[in-house]
Amino acid sequence: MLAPPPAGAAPAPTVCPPGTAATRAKDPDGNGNGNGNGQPPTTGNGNPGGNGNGNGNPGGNGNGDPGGNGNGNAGGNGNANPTGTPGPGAGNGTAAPATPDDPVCAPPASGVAGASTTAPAQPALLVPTAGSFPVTGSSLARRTARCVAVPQATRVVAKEQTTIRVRVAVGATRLRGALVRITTPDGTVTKRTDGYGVATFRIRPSRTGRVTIQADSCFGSRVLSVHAARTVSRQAARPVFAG
Amino acid sequence: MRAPALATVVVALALPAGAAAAPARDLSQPGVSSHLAFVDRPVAARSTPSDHGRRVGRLTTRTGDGTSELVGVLAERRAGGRDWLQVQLPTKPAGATGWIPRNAVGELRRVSTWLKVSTRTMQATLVRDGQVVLSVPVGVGQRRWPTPRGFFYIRDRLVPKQPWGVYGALAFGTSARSRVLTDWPGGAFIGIHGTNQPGLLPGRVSHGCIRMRDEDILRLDALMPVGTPVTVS
Repeated sequence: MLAPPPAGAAPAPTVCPPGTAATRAKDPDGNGNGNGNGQPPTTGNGNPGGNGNGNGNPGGNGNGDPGGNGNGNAGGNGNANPTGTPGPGAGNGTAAPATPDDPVCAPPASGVAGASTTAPAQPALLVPTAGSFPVTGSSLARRTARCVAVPQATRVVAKEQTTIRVRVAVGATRLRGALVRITTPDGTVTKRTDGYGVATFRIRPSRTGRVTIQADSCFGSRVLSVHAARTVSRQAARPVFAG
Repeated sequence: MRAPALATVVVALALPAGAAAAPARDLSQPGVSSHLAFVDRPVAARSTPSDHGRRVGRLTTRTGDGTSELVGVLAERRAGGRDWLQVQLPTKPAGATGWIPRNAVGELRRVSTWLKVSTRTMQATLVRDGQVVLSVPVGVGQRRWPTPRGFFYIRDRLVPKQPWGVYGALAFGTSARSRVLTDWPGGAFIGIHGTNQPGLLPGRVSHGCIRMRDEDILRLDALMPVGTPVTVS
């Protein structure tokens, strides 16, 4: 169930089919590479040249934005592999290093360039964001993050410490080293998952609100409510004890 | 040699159907380490740690005073694949206990205090970490409205709107309820509170509540947290 340990030798690059992207996997040797392919839109005008990107080391990352800009950020021994489709329109590709033993590919996000472009419907966004997170509350963060699992029984109460164990997995593969961010009414905490794909947070919200959990392995988020603090004391009360 | 074997059989039969043979873990050592928990969702309390146990009470998330409902936790046990807690109930009869699922309450909190009230000597004694830290005279219920005896807990803390009234400067609500007052507003809960008639203390002066002088209830407030177990003897 766990992602396999990194191999010492340089693995062959995993190339996902066009229109898909490799999920994030850890390769400390920095020899992996990935690629993403731009997706020509059906309508609309965008920057010529789709985009593609790749990266070589686990610290590096690459991403393409919906505006049609591609970039590669190869660190270490990686290489950028822009394979975007030129032409009017938009597309994006996002890539992260993948190992041959962990070739998890997922549908990409559909980029939109130009005001009149209509994005094709995608059932789910499972594209690595490689260290960056969509803004909380934005359209990319609004839907449910499929790679993030939080115990349903978790109940967060203001002014009480709560331990939240976040599991990050794609399908049955738990992701090690994935970046997980928790946004509480008091601020943001970021951690990486351990070897079991679990990141443990201990939070103590000071007030009611929401706790938003995101991972860089997929778009979307999980949201928990922060319940009102317990009250054991009341001022200006009218007791009705037996007296 | 026969006696232990017989005892084993009797204990095994007493376990509820489907329950694992896990022994209950005692969580109540008044004055040293007692536990309380806030109720997270309405739940029925059972006579045994099982969904099939007789219903002995029902817990809600709020008290009649508008505070969060809490229960004193006596023991923990795993039965039928679930964790259960034996808790003190703020229901009639006074001092009732029952079993509720562990996931119906929040985290267990520990208190190291214990309030002992003697209706015979009319003294209240607060024990903290095994040491007596406060002992004050009190007023208790009259003969016809006796203060119920048993094992209870502090349920909430109320600052009266009128500190010159009959409840004095401060009132603690307990899980105890009068056994004789049946039509008292709010369910005839027994309080521990101050008074505007300190000259009557100590004595059998109340409808069942435990009265203290205002200065004593304020000293108690500084030492005793909500959730403290209370023994009335």
